[in-house]
Amino acid sequence: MIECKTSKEIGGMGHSKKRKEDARFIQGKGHYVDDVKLPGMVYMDIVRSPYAYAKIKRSTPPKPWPSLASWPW
Amino acid sequence: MKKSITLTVNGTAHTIEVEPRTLLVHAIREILNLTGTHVGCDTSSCGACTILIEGKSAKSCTVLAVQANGKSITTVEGLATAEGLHALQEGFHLNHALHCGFCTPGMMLRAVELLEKPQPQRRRDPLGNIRQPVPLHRIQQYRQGHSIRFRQDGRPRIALH
Repeated sequence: MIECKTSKEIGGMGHSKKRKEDARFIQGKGHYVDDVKLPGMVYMDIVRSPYAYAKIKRSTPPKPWPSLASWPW
Repeated sequence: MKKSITLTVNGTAHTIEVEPRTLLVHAIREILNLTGTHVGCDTSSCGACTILIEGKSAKSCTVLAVQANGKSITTVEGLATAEGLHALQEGFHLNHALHCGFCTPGMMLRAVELLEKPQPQRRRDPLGNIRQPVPLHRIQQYRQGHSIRFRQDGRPRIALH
């Protein structure tokens, strides 16, 4: 069997690779979706119908919603 | 009705205004802008939000910010010092103990507390963190305070627990 292993200096074949992205993740500097903040950003909720097959005639947003950006109907 | 609380986070005192219902994790992430602490499940199951309160690990999504008033808190941002990374951060990197890194801050902070306990207690301690399918043995190898041992051919000896 031929051993496919590059020298230690070169690395690569036969060597474990150190990940470049680890540095930010282990220091809490990763940028995940929930970390994104943009001007005018809103949160979205999907309200699903409890009925599997029905016609939507109208829908009203729940009352205590202070700053509703938009409501479909 | 907002309450004024003082939190010492990673050595710096912050006086902030929070609603009584504000969770500690939201105070840390949204008011102090330390987004290294993550919300994974919001039900205190996963442990991604783990922080240290007075040196003891706690899931910050189950603690109210007002409960931590006057307490000293360590988050992942406070692990590294001016001298460099914490040994655990170094270890997680060297042992490939993370993939996307979302759960990693919680893992490391839990490990900080775990490693301070005497050995027998440490072995029995449940993980308390749910993770993506990162090689668990790598995390455990590190968390149990094992240095990675190498076989004669130079490859690490992996012990499955």
